[in-house]
Amino acid sequence: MAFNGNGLEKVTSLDYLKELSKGNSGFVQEMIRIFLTENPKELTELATAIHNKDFTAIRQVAHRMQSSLPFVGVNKVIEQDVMEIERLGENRCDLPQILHLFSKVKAVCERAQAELR
Amino acid sequence: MNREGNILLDGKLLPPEISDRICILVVEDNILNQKLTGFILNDWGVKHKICSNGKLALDALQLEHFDLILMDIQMPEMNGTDTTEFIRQNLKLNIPIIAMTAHALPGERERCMKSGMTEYLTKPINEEELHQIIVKYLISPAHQGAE
Repeated sequence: MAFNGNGLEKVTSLDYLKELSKGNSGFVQEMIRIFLTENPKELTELATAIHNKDFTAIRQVAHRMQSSLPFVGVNKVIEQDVMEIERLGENRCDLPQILHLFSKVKAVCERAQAELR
Repeated sequence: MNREGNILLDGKLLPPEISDRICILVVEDNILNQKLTGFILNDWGVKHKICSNGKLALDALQLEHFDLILMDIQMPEMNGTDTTEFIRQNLKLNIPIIAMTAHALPGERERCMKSGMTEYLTKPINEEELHQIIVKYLISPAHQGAE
């Protein structure tokens, strides 16, 4: 079990990226750089979509975010929550639950970003 | 690139005349997935083009020849199933189209196959599974010399 600087259990893991990269550390760094650029944008887009009650955008952004999470291992922590946001967006229902799940997803993603910087 | 820039088939290097004639169209809007797929195909020495939505893919298909399409499902502008239906019904192309998606919503797989897709890969792409797809559709004897 890995821990971050604050003694909390790490939410990220680079095992998958390192395996894919076959020792190419430039590729790993490039993927982390892209994640650190895209993930905050996705969180902002999702917050805006929720604020606007735009279920189509909620579904689309949650789906896009879901694709990115495995690259830095965060899927193990919040994949089910992001999938549920996508499902609720698809069904156009339960905004309070979407907001509740989003709070958790946002907190974990921000921890992930801090670990990767 | 691996040793010769060729695809390994059953542990054997393929002659460049085979890997050189393959060109794959990757239709994907997620930048990390674009990078990963490009990284793997580059490693195998396989030529490819990346389009970030279905409309751009249709433009590319009308200008260039491709041997196989890796198609994301949910994309802005034009999604994967609509793009596939257009390719089959309007462009009349029989090219293998492999769906790529993260955990699918219920019924998504059926919608993919109904739209005319050939097979289904789960994202993030597994290198071994992608390799098997390329061998199956582009390199196996049944497809040698096929358009």
